[in-house]
Order: sequence, then structure tokens, then C-alpha cells
Amino acid sequence: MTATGCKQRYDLPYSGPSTGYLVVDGKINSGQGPTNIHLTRTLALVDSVFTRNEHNAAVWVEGDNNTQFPLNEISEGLYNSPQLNLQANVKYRLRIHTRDGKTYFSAFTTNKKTPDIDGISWEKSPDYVQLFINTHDATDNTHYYQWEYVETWEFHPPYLSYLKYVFDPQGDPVGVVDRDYDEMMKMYTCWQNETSSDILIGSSIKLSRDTIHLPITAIATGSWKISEKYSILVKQHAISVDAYEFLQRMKKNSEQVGGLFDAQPSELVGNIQCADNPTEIVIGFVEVSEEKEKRIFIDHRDVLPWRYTTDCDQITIRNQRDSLVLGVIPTTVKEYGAFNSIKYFYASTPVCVDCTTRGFNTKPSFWP
Amino acid sequence: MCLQAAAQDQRKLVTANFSNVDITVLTRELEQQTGYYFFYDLVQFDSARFNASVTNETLHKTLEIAFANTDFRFAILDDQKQVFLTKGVEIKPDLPAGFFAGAAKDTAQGGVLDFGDRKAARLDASIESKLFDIGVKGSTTPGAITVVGYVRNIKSGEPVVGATVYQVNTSNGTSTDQYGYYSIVLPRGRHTLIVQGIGMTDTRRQVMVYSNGKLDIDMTERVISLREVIVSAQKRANVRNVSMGTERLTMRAIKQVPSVFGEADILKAVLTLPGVKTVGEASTGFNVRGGSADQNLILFNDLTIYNPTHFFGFFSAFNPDLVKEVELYKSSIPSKFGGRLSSVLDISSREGNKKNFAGTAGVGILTSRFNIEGPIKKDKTSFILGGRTTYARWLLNLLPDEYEHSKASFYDVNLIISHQVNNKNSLYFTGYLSGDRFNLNSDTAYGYNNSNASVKWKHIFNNKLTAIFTGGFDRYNYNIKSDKNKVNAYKLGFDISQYNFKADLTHYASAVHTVDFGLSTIRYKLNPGTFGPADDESLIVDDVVESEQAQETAVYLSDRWTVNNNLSLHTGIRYSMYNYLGPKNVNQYAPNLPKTVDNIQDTRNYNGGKVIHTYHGPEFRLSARYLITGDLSLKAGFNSLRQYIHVLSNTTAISPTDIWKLSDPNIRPQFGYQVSFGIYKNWKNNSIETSVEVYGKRIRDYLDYKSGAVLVLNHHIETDVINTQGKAYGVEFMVKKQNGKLNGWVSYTYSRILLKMDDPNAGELINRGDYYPAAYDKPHDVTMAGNYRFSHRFSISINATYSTGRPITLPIGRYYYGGSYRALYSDRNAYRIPDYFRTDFAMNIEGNHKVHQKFHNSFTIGFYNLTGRKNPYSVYFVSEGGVVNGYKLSIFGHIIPFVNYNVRF
Repeated sequence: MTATGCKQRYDLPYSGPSTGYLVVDGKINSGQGPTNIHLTRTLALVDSVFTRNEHNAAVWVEGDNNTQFPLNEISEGLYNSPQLNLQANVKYRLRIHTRDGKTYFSAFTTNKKTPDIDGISWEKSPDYVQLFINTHDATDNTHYYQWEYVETWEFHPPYLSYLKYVFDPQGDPVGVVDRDYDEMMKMYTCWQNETSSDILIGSSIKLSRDTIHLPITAIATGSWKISEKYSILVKQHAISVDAYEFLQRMKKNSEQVGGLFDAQPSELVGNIQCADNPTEIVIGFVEVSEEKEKRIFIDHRDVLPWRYTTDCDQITIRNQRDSLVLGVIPTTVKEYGAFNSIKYFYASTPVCVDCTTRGFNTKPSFWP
Repeated sequence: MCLQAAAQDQRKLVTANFSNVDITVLTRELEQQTGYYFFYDLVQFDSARFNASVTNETLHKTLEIAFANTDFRFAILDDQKQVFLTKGVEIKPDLPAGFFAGAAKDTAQGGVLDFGDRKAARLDASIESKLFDIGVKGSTTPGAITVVGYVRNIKSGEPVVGATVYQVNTSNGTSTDQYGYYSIVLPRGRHTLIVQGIGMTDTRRQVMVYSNGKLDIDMTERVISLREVIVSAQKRANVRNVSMGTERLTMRAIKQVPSVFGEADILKAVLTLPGVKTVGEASTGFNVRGGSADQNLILFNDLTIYNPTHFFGFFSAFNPDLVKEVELYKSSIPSKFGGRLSSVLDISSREGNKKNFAGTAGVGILTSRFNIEGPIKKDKTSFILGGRTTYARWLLNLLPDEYEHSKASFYDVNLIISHQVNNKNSLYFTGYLSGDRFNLNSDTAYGYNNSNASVKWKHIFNNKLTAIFTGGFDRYNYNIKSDKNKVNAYKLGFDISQYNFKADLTHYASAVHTVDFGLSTIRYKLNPGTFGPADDESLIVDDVVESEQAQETAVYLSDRWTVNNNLSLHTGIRYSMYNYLGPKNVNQYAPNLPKTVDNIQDTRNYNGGKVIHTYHGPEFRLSARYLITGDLSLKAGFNSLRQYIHVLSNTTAISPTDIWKLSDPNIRPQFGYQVSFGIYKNWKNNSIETSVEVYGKRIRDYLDYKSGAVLVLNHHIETDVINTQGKAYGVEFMVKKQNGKLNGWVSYTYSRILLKMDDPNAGELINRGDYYPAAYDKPHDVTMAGNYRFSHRFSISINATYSTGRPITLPIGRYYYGGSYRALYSDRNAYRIPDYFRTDFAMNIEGNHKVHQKFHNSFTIGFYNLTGRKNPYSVYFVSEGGVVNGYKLSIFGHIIPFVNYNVRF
């Protein structure tokens, strides 16, 4: 008689509307840095498409003083302005003309000032490293916050590839030779990054001071993220109470529904409306807010013992044409034969040797 | 002979004034004055009353006066200083010794008992054929005559509740109240009364009615009564009762319904009745005829129990060993009840054994329980004390894996004391405490408690007027505490208390009219939320939502009227008034605008005790029964109710963290009315009952929540809830077999409950203002509860239930936002979870039935969810690693074996 309660996969008896509703994700950044608005369409729950970007829309930021700032589509569905120069006492909104001829507006909102991030702290426990965001507003004015983050980390595969195959004109390997140093290092040092996938919001409204100390993410001990060096960039926005509630609802709907005490899902009404059909569902809450950011680094040495392991193993291959194995990358010499020729060498699967299989090898500009 | 006796008795003169006294008073007084002993059969005399006023008279003369106009006779033996009293025949003590000896011996040892000696715990069958004289023979009381008395269990002295006392071959009858008291109006003359009590052997009394009088009736328990689920008291009750939609379950019937952990469970048994539904296994609430869970008034000996369950609703919070019976009113709600829209679940406890100490103990796989009862003063005062507790942690393995690091425990304690002051006054005390603590896989600890106490005084003014006065206190509170994150460590509390006073009077006006009237008042005090730091380092500031107080007062008057042999009417009116009281700050909203924070015009401050707002109105309770033949009747009913207190919940079930809210100037009370109609027919000598009931219902101002409502610590809760209008209708079919080896019932219910929110001033329309099904709308429901008795010691029970899945709001699409896929939801309650089906099986094994052994053992062994069907409790969707996944959560998704051991001593 162990667990009698149980959770099972459940497939819906229903598939959603075919056309999809417009989804507007982003903020109008009144501070330093770019403004990015991502336009997509809702999908059926079971849909072959990964995302359906809204291509070829016309998007502007417009002020109630009749100023207009166009955004440009820099990749499919992503509309950008590298820097908007907005005035502090003007209200702004987003205006969207979609390809199917409809016009959408967000509500005019005032320009919210965002306090600086005081710091990102972390604590190590046996199971994980917990990161916290710390901020405060000395004027006790902000109260509602939203964060996004980008994690970046450097990593190495377990094996260096000193050797490489030599191929005949038919593309079959004939033997191994030394790999040159630069090429070797390009396979050895890589970076990977990940952006936050949860809605991170916080409020200090119940505290006596406008102070935030909240967990933002955690890294499990042994994760490859701190196998060398790790960095996190946190972006902070002051948001309105309405936006906070909108995000809270969205969060409840998609992250916290179904437990014994979790609330029922609720309708999600944002601040964007279709001018041609006010009852059409549009998802999104667009506000004007300064973006503040902060980056920290965590070194592998600071979190020891970390116990990062891989499942990697090497095999021994005889360096003769008929014994060579495809699908692996040679690493080091095991045994030399006559005249310093390589008699046996080690090899392993690409993921254990070539870091570009799991990341990119261009050093990010901010990396020390 | 008589003269001689009188002559010899000159020395012992009697001076006394007997007025309408019974035989014990008469003889005791005469024994004191004369030193003679009296011998008589109490059974022959116990209903007779005597009058005699004498000054310095002989014993002989005194008895002549007292026995004038009766057929009682006496014989005085001066040598032995003995007096023999007889009925009809006269003892002649001076007959030749040889002739008389045998008869005298018989009389002395067999028929004639020493007075007051009624130790025999078994009723002599001859009592049924004996003729009882009621009142004073020769009395000329005009009109109909009222006979009153108590019906008691002869073994324990406990009252028999709900026993019917009726005149044979007529429709004239009554039933006992919760104290076993009855009052029946009879014409002068000779009658036969039939007495039927649940779990008791039927009995009858021959009565000769002269004037108003008293007849206490003792009944014997059916010692071996596995045979019947609901015994003969209800044989014809369903056809003859005027009230509709009333279901009575005895503890014996409840114990036959298999429950998940083998311990008899009151609420789970109630759920097998037609028209009663639940949203799932882990829910505190039940829904009666389309009512929400907070529209049920749950009373335990008149204590209001706000949270009737333990451990998320897996157990009901009533100790099965202390409960005597449960009555559910779902349509004809008596006028004395009010304050909730849908139903009254009236749970009455047993009274302690007034004669001997006894107890029971039970051991189940999760809980154990113990109770002890006995006389404090024999035949006058008794107590019963019971408690239950868990073995703690094991329970948690039952929860879904996400909750594996949880902790939980609970307990409940009951104490009931009853005291009979004298024939006219009785006092009852009931105390109830229950508590739950749990911790769901997190650093957050939850707890909740019920604490209740009441004192009742039952007073009989005279044969025609009785009263019950009740004063009580009820409290429910919960608290939540979290202290892991030091900066945010908090504790959160909620509580509601009420002080009640009630006076319920019954006037047995005539043979055809019984009038009930009374008043009740409740003072509420509610702390909607207190929030504060749980730790010195915590930066949490105290946040206290202002407390609320209100007074709910009602008066009622109702008449049970037997128009003729076929037609009976119950008519009642209840007028309730509700005062919302200060001190309180109340927000004023701009008229005709949505109640939002932006639309607050003003906040008015009211001082303590000031009446801030008053709601009041009448409630009507009507029901009628027309008897077509002895076993076929038609009934119709109308009732309206008002409810001034609401549960605010946006979870489907009642969860322990739901808050109650009093109506205030911004939140109107709920109002509802129901029209119902039914046909009742019994077959095969009343052993099979069938019924069809149809009902329609309207509900006004039921509270639903706005999307994304914040209910906890909300200082302006009216901005997050909306008034909805509801309509419910349904039909209930039931077939019930009471007797025989095979007994049980099958019911089918079709019912709907739809809500609508179309007030344009509310700001936000749900589903564009169309009707939508409430979260507990489950149209089809089939329930079977059956028991088969192989022998007196072995029986099996099976119950099976099928119902439509409850409505949910489903995701109909997904979208990418904030770095993750999210679900897009449909209209509210537009889809349903898969249908529910469950079968349970139990075997009841009793130890031997020898009455005099010290311990009586019994076992229950069984399986819950025999088919192992994974009934979904909920269906939900989670964004996991960027993908929306659907899950269904079952609470008891496997077959669950159970065993329970009970011992009675």
C-alpha cells in the first residue's frame, strides 16, 4: 500500500481554434537598451508547429502627444527598436497592424521608473546553489517587480581531442594524425546560455519597506552550469499592480493549477484590444518601464565540492584502416608502435569531446 | 370480611390529600402512615391516577375513596400488616388455607411484584396485551385528550428518537422528538397504539383513555438486527410523512456502507442518497440539489459545524460511535431551521447509558477511537465521552507523490451529558472539539479547529406545551504558518465564532393541529484574516483585515395540520432579520459602476454596536401530502430560504483555507426557493419503497469569484466577487428494500445547476453573461447501496456509484509568453472531467451474540474502489520545461483494502 494517489498523463478531447489569437509579449523600454516585442499566435495544444510567429506586422510605439516610434522586424515575429527616447511625462502605447488587416492597441500607460538592482546573492546548500535577487526602492514607490534573466556558462568536455581522422577521397577514414592546437581548443572551450522560462514577479506591498529578497533560480549540485564558470544577467522592471495581477493569473493558470488547493483557472484579460473586434481574445500586457540589469559570476572553485560528472567513456581503437570506427572522435594516443607511429588510440563520442555539440565556441563579449 | 378488617384497623388512621397521584405515591404515603406493606403489580397500575382527601380515616376507607369508580380492588391482611392491590379480581384472604395457598403463592411470586422493582430488563410480552388506564376514570374532560410520554430503550434508558406512535387503523399518529418525547391526541375510549422505533422491536399498547395523562413506553432493542437497514419505523414513513426530500439514516445503516478506511463515515453514507453529490473524494463539501457546499447547515446536536471533515475531506469529523442518527432535509426544511439555502444535515448523538457503564473501542488502519459512557447518577444523569485520533504519518503515503514530504494528524473529542431534573425538566450538555494539523510537502504548516459547546433545557409546561431552550457557542478557525524564508516568515489566521440562543416550542393544540413556534438569534464575530511575522527577523508587517460582526434573528410559526385521513398540510413562516454591526469601516462605491478599488467614493466609519445595514424578509415553508391509498401518496412542497453568510472559495472543493464572509452593505445575502413534487408508493406489504421526486430551484446572489480573485487578506473583498443567479432542477428516483436478507437502495438522479452572471455593473462578465454550469453540476448519478446477510454473524455490503464528471475549464490552446508555453483556457466550466465510477465491498463479521459476555467483537474487512478505476479528481495542465502537459490526478486510483476491528464492552 504505497502511494494510492496518482498523476497520469491526460490527453485533451479537444483541439483549439485553427487561426489562433494574437499574443503580444514584451515591454516598452523607457530606459537604456533595446525594446523587443514578440508577436505570435496561439496554437492548438497538439500542434506540429513549435511557434507561429506573426510575420510582416507593422508595429509602433506611440505617445499621447502624437509622437510615433516604429519598431522593425529583426527576425520573424520579433519587432525591435535599439533605443527609444521616450519622455518621462508622456503616456505611451503599442499599435499593431497585422497582416490580416486588423489593428490592435495596448492601453496608454505611464512611464514607470525602476530602481537599481542592489545585488544578486547566492547560498550553497548540499543540494543546490540558490540565487536571490535583492533590491529596494528608497522612495517606497515601486512595490511590484518583474524579472527576467539570462544564464551563461562556460564548460569543457571531459576529453581533449589531440588527434583527428585522415580521410581518403571516398570519405573513409584511413588513420589518425595530430590535430592543430587552435582547432583543439575550439572544441574544448564553449559557452551555453538559457533564458528564464518562468514568470518571475515579486511584491513588497506587504512589507514595511519596499525591499525585495526573493529566490530567483536554483542550480542543482553537479549541474554543468557551474562546471567551470557561470554568469547570470538579471533584468528588472517596475510594473503596475494591474500587470502584476495579469502575470500572477497567467502564472496561476499555467504553473499552479491542479493541486489539491490550487485555484481554478481564470480568464486572462490583458490590456490589449482589437480595434475591429473588441471581444476578440488578445493575450498580453504591454507597459512602459525602465529596464535595469545586473550581472554576476560564480566560479567553479567557489562552489566546491560540486561533483560534476558525465557518462563519458573512451574506447581503444587500433590505428589501422579496417579497425577504425565511425561516429567517434579520436582523443589521445594509447600506445606508440615502431617509429613513433600510433598503434592504439582512444576515442569517444562527439558529445564527450567536441563542446560545440552542446554549445557555441564564440566567447561572449562580457566574458572575462 | 371488610368490616372486620376495618374494625381491626382503628388504630392506624390516615390523613392525606391525594390529587391525581400515581400508585407509587399513594402507597408510599400510606405505608408511612400505617406501617402496612403494599403488594401489587405495577404494570397494572402504572397509568392510573388516584384522588382521595381524608382526615383521620381508616386505611380501608381511604382505599375505598381512592379506588372509587375504578375496577381496582384491595385486600388488607392485618396479621401480616400487608395490603394486596389487584385489578378486576379481589383477593379474599380468609378463604380456607388449602384452597388459597396455591393461588396466593402464584400471585406473590409470579404476577405480583414488589413495588418499584423493575430490574427486569426484558419486557414481558404480556405488557402488550395489558390495558392501560390513562387519566382519571370518570373524569369528564371535554374534547380530545392528549397523551404524552417518553419512549425509551429499556436496556440503556436512552430515548428512542423518531419513533412513531400511532393509533391503529387510522392516520392519527405522531413521532418522538430528539428526546424521545411524544404527544398524541386521542378521543376518549379504548385504542391500540402502535409504536415503531428505528432499531427497536415494534410494540403496541392497549389504552383506555379517560383524561389527559402520561404513558411512558419502553422498547426493546433488536439485539440481532443485521437483518434490516432501516427498520420498521420508516416502513410507511415515506408514504405517510408530510415532509418531502427528507432522508433519515441510522448509524446501523451508515455502518453498512463501505468507506475508504473501514471506519463508518457519516458524510460518505449521506453521499449515497439521491440528490447528494460531491465534487471528489478529497473534498469537504457535499452538494444537495444543486446547492453549493456552503449552503448546507451541518448541525451536531444543534452545534453548527463549519468544517465537518478531517484531512482534506477524507474523513468526516464525527465519531461514528457517538452518533445515533442523521437526518438530511433537502426539500421540506422545517421552519425551525434557517440560515442556509440548500439543506440541513441534522446529526444527533446518542445519550450515555443511564444504567450501566459501557464503552466501545475501534482500531482501523489509520485511526483508533474509544468511547465510554455510563450513569453519573443512575437513571438520572449520564455521560458519554468519545475521542478519535490518527496514527499520524502513514496517512500521507496515500497522497500523490508531490506531497510525499507531508505531515498530518487530527483528533476529535465529544462529551455529552444528559440529566433528567424531574419529569418536566431535562438538561443536556454537548461539547465538541476537533483539530487538524498538516504540512503539505513544504515549509508551510496548516491547521484548523472546530470548538463547540451547547446547553439545552427541555421543559414540559403541560401535556400540550413543551419547550426546548438552547444556548451555545461555535467556533471555527484555521491558521497557516511559514518560516523557511526568514525575511518573509509569516503566520496567517482566520476565525469565526457564533453565540446562539434558541427557543423552540411545540403546542399540541388538538388532534389535527400541532403548532411549532419559536425564535433564534445568532451573534457572529468573524476575523477575516490576521497576517503577521512568524519570526523576529521577518520584515512582514502586521496586516489585519477588520473583524466583522452581525446578528441574525428569526422567529417562526408553523402548523402541522391533519385535514382529514388523506390530506395533511405543514405550513410555516419564518421571518429572519440580519443586522451587520459596527465597529467597521465600510467602503461606499459609486452607484452603477463596477465595484473596483478605483470606484471607492468614500469609506465610512461605524462605531461598535451600530447597525450598519439590515436585511430582512420572510421565508415560507409549505408541504402537503395526499394519501391516495394506504401505500400510495402524492406530496408537494414549496420553501424559500435566506442565507447571510458565504464561503469564498475559488477552489472547487471546500478547502480548509476557504474563508467565510458575512453579508454586508456591498455583499447581499443569498436567497433561494424550491418547488418540489413527489409520488411515493410502497409494494409488497411496505417492504419495498419507491419514490419519484421532481424539483426546481432558483438562487439569487450566489457568490462566484472574479477571474484571478484574491480572497485572502483582501480588505475590499467585494471587489473580487460577483453575484450570480442560479437555476437548478432535477428528478430523483429511488427504490429501497428495507427488510429481508437482501436490503439496500438504488437511486438515479438527473439534475442540473446553472449559474449566470449578467450584471453589466459588475465589470466583468463570465462567459459573456450566458448560463454556465456550476463547478459541481453533475447531471447523471446512479447509486446502489446493498447489503446481504448470510447469517446473524456474517453479511456483505456493496455499494456502487456512477456520475457524470464535473465541469472544468480546459485549456483550448497554448501560446508562448515569458519564455515558456502557457495554456489558453476555454469558457468557464465548458468541459467535463471523465465520468466517475466506483464500487466498494465490505464484509462484516460479528463475534458471537451472547448477551452476557464481557466483550462483543466485530470486524469489517473490505476493499474500496474494487475495480481500481483511476477516477480523476481533477485534470490540469502544467508548463514543464517549456511544454504544456496535461495530467489527471486521482486520489484513490487503486483498490484499497481495509480492516477495522471494533469492540464493545
